[in-house]
Amino acid sequence: MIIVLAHDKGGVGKTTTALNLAEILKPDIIIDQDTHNNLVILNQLRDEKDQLNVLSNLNKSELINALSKSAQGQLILVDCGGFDSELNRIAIAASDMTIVPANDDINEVVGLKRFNKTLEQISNDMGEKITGHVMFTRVHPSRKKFTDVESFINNSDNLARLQTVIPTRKWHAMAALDGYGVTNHKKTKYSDAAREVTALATEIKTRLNIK
Amino acid sequence: MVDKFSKLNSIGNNAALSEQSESDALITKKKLVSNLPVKAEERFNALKKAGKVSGSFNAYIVQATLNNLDSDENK
Ligand SMILES: Nc1ncnc2c1ncn2[C@@H]1O[C@H](COP(=O)(O)OP(=O)(O)OP(=O)(O)O)[C@@H](O)[C@H]1O
Ligand SMILES: [Mg+2]
Repeated sequence: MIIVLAHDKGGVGKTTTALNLAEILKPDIIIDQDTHNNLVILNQLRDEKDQLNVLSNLNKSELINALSKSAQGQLILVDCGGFDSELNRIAIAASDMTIVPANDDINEVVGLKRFNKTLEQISNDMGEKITGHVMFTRVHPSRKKFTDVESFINNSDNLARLQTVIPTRKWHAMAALDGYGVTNHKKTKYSDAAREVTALATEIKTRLNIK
Repeated sequence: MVDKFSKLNSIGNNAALSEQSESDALITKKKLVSNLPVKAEERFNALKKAGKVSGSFNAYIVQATLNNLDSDENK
């Protein structure tokens, strides 16, 4: 299985979500496509015994080779950079699920519109439909309805919505300071953030039919 | 099914950016230049003052070298 965090808009929460999901899904390989090697650096903060298998700076053939290990049953998690590039598109094209972290702000529609177009092009190139699963994140904790952005998603051919919402919580940055996701840090593992991330992982596992 | 992973090779040509492969990327090292004409640096400083160029003299030298290499390679 290949799970990809992607949005060609920067700073939406891809890396935070990747780290949070890595704690629960325990991927065999994590691919860091960000030019700033965010996950590589976070991994350096972790204890020796908690090291993640992070690959970075892969070129095209190395990337395709790593992705192809999913055919042997490996679980691969990819954190894309916040830009539209050839290698990010390749990861999306290969994915079993592409997750698109996004805010509920109405301005977000502009970014999603562009990303829907990108997904449409990748689908055409690949000859199969690729869907971006929009995940609302960094939203106000009391926010429950996302009517405006949701209706846009419903009208976009290449976008769907994940039901789990990840609100803005201080615990994400707190855990990341030591290189951990919220479910695996002693200060945050009993927080609302940990509960929300666990729900997200459960939704993804259910949709992909993985245990 | 056509192998999904071989198909990936043709994906992403229309992306806004394409990653540089390691071999294309500039790998740098320190290099001292001996006998640089003083006049050259003065002329650079004058151009900079006039706003015709920007950046450091060092970057200017590197760019000039790359330009020269490009033109010689295309001879
Ligand atoms: N649920 C959240 N609650 C609070 N802060 C968050 C949350 N999700 C992300 N952040 C913060 O938002 C910032 C950007 O997040 P992140 O680095 O995950 O985005 P990104 O999409 O990976 O960015 P880039 O495109 O630059 O790689 C970080 O400082 C992170 O701590
Ligand atoms: Mg990131």
